[in-house]
Amino acid sequence: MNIVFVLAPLSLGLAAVFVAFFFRSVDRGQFQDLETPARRMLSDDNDRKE
Amino acid sequence: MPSARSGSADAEARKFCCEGCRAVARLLATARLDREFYALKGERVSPVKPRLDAAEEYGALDEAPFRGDRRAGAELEFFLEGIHCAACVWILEKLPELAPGVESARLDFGRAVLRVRVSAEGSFAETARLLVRLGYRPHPVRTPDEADARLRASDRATLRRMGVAAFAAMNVMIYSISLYAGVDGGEATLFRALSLATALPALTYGAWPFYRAAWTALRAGRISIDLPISLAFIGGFAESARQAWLGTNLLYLDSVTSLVFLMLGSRYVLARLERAETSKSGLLRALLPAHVERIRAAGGADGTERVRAESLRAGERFRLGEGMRVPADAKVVAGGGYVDLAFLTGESKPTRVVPGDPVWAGSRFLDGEAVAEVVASPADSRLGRLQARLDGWVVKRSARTERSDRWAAIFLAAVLGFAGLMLALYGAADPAEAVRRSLSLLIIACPCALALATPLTLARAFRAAAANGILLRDPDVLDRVAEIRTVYFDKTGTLTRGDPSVREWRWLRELPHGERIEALSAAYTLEAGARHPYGRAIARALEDTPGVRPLAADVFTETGGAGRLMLVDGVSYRIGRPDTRHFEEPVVEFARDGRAIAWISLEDAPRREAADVVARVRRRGLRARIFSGDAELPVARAAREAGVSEWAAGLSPEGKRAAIADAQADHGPALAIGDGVNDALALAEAHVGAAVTRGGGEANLESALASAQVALLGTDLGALPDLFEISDRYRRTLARNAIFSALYNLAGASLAVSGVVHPLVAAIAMPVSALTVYASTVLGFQRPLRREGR
Repeated sequence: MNIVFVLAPLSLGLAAVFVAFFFRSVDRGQFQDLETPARRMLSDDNDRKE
Repeated sequence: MPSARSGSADAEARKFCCEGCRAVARLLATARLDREFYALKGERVSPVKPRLDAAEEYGALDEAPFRGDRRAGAELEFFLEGIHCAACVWILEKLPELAPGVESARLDFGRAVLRVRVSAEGSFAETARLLVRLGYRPHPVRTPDEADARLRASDRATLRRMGVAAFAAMNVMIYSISLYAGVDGGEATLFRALSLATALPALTYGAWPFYRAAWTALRAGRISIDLPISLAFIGGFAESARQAWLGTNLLYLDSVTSLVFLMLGSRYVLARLERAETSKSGLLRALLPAHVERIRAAGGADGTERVRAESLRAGERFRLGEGMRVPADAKVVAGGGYVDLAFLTGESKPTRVVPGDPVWAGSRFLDGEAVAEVVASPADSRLGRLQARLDGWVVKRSARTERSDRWAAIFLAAVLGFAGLMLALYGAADPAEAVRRSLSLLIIACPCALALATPLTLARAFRAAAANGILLRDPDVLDRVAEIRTVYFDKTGTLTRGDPSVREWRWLRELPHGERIEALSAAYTLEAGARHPYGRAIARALEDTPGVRPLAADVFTETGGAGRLMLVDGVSYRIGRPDTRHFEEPVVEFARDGRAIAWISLEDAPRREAADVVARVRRRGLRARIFSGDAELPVARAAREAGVSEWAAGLSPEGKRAAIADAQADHGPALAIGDGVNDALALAEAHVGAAVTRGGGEANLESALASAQVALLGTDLGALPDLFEISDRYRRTLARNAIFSALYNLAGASLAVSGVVHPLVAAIAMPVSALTVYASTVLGFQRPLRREGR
């Protein structure tokens, strides 16, 4: 069971990485407009730059 | 849109509902985008508004304040009318391929706002004209400014805090479950330490806005809702830390961190709802022309210059021509014509103006030519002052959410208090059992129904409303709608279409069939390009008559106020006002070779669904009434057709407000529904004010919207009964959630205190109860609204 002493903090570190990813997506405005992307994907050209 | 969904091969050969669509098809074919576009566009499209003012001026968009430096690129947001479906997203974001100089175009579908970025060579005016040709009427909103950026930054900060709080809550829950399950020794110490370490960011960074708001209020000498919330957070954390120090498992960090997340989520949802409020200064912009032809003080023969409407000052003179909007309150000094005052008074018959008569800003000059002198500048005009009054209205926070926030804090304090009390009372007798029971109590108690379910229900109701074309500005409307006793309908543009149509052709003498078709064709040719609403109505009525075709006219004149005149093969035709007789209703005369052969009477036809809507309002036990600024005859007729027995005619905007105020004093809360500026005061006075778009398509909505808490955006009045239905569901869902939550918490607390449930069971029961509340909220709005009679 001693392995828990290593794994539990490790999992916390991993979660922190995910939080960092979340921050990044927030900063890029992915949560700004929740309605248009659902419709935008209906057009099938994939060469959008943004 | 093309009436037949054939291939895209030939844009010219197909039939189109309007010029706009033909232009779009041609444009798309040129850019080789047509095949994809028509593949995307489904069967169900609402007809694109055919009335696109090609003459509308967008030149000002490339000047200050829209564009500071012409040599640099710039960004501008447009609010677009006519956004329907995925195809709109597609075509609008193709703008960079269609227009040179446009660097990017991003559409926010929910708000119908298009953000356009142009390079140094690009032009906003060109972009706006292209948008018009595509069938969308653009209204420049503003350049994205600092306030906008601040709002966005605060949105993002809240999202980040929510992320941190959710992260902490989830992880602490995992550790807590191990603790409840009964780990001990070194591992228990590890999990306690980890819990504290994980909860710390949520309680500092995550909960910061609550601390700050509480502190700001305290310094101002007030106690805000944020204070008890903050105390609960800090107290919960401090107590948990103490317990961890003492080596017990009495940690309630999972509850505290979840609460931080729930509270932040609730604030975020509400902030976004409030943002949905439309721009306030829309009224002036919607009704004033961008440019006017000002007459130069020291000019030559035709010394006019184009200037921005806002720059007009009292004493200056400007020219008025057919179809123009009057830019300021003014006095006619030369010429004359007919003015449509419907937006201000509801009067359906155009008013004649001669030198000396006043014209009001925002009214439409229908025909004739005139020179007018500004009496009050646009901002000081009647319209401008109305706007200023309406700007004073502010969106209030929902009283219900505030209440639920307060209850959530009290709830948390009560639970903590109970747990402490139990420890104090039974701790001495049986410490282990007392700790176990208070722990169960802390875990099982769940404020979800209060903290997040209320805003969530509100958000669902807003969504359901939006899906049915109802825009809500004030969350409390949903509660207030339930109190309504009387519904006041405006007539022009609300119960009726707000756009004249031909009621009857009265031939003054019998004509043989061939001759009659010839005459009808002449009438059609005369009015085909008319801008006067009567002319358009006549052309529309004749369009589908078999045999009617455009004729080749030899001479064609518009005789100012007298109507339109033309010569075909030596025969003259004229459509204009009858000069011999006076009629109660709007009538135009159709003359051949100077002799009247027919009278065409026009009416503002009732909306198809009007009678049905009135009947449904009645079925709820409400009284229906009509209040109108129009004359008695048309009002009485509309009342008869809609099945309303009580009506009032000839009311001024102030009179309408007084009528509402009196009715509310006598019969309880009233809902007023109207379409124009003339209703604005009444809509603001009423318990609930609802603005509706005109059936005829004139975008008059923004004006009424400024004072109404509800806007019915569709062209269908049926949204009004829908609003009642949504309000019912909203209240039902809230009541159900409250009852469920109360029962759950009571039962849970009793079981926990009596020692029946183990903390581990409690840890499972809590999220299950939260999910139940959310499911109940979602299901409350799942069923589509029932729409009768169609």
